[in-house]
Amino acid sequence: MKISNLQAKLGDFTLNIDNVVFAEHKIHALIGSNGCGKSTIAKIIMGILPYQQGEIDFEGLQPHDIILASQKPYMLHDTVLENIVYPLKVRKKEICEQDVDNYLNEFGIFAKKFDYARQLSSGQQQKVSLIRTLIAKPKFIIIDESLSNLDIESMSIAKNMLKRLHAEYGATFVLISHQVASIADMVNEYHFFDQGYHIASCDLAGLKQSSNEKIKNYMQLQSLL
Amino acid sequence: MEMVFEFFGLLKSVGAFHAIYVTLLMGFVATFISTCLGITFGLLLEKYHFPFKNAVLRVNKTLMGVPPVVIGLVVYMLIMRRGPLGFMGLLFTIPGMIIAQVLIITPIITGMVHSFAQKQVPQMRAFAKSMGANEKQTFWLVIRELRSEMYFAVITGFGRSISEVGSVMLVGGNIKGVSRTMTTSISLLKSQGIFTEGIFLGVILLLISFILQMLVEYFRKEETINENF
Repeated sequence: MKISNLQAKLGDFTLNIDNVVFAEHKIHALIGSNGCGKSTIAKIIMGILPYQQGEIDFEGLQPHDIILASQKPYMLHDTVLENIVYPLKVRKKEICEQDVDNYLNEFGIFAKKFDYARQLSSGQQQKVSLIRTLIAKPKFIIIDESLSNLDIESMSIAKNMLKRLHAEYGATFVLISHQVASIADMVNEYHFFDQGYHIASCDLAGLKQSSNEKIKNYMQLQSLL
Repeated sequence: MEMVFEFFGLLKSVGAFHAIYVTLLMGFVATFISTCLGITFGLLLEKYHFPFKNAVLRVNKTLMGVPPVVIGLVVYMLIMRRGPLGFMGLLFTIPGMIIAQVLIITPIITGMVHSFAQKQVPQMRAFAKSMGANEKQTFWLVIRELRSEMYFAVITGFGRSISEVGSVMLVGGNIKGVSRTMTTSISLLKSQGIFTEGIFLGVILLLISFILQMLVEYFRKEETINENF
């Protein structure tokens, strides 16, 4: 997926992207301080927010091929199971309950399978949201902060899940995070944003060696320099 | 025993049993039509922006609180013999009363559905898009997710319908065995000084209202659990 010369005005905030390429089969990360426009990009890609200028080249990806796990996941007024199988229903794919059970077991929330999803704690809802995002195995998966909202153990489980799926069928992942260190072992390319502007796209070494003051500051704050 | 026979005999003489039938028939049909219209209008008003939308919403809010007797008067003037729709012969008939009721209930359901939708549909739509759903799938998701709010609106509309007296009196004419409803029966029994039977009908109305209340509670239970959590 390629985003070029994109400009989106949303109230006082303006997002400017000169050129960002999400190369296929790679794990990308959108990084930057709060309010720099990371989540806005995800919403624009999904068609939730509009943009005024520029172009997004989906390179043949259909709406069913892309999925987003939002920062604040919306839980259907239904059971955990129904929430998880929703993307399968949307894609008219066969529902394999064994798959659902495996994911739930992995996260240790199997007992909640038939519970009312809105009664779960926010951490458990994040887990349901993650499973829901992965179950239909779409080609392009955006995960907005879901990982950083999990406890250390669950985060490691989630990361293993992502790595496994990535190895299994080569999905393109875009992780939105403000903790570079926690995802550094899996990300191939970082896209750094500051106050609505795309500053740079590079790997971790590139970030560390960058001469850009904003990136330097950011990396220092993250204790990565 | 004799007193019981006398009691029911009197109820029969004022057409009270037929009145129960008329009330429920009118309530169900009018609520069904208003539900179809109200849900459609409510969701359309949430989704689309057009010139004078705020004015339309304000008019709807005004209609939500308009005295039913005013609607009754307007409908009466439309369907009376010399009125523009007089040729249809709707005056003093159940269909005529249903028209008045639809005009009273539709704004209520529209207003309630719009208000619920305005608060919740944007996040549902964002969720549907983030899951890759198309327009049709998004529409069904919204309907499914708003179901308990919609039951609430519909039951409120039905409650309003069966408890209403002003417009059905004007448009229906309180004709025994034709257009007499429970509320107009009570009004008539009171004017004749027959209170016991009036109270009996009142209790039946209360019972229906209680059952409706239970239904609302049942459908809203899910939400309450949520809030308590």
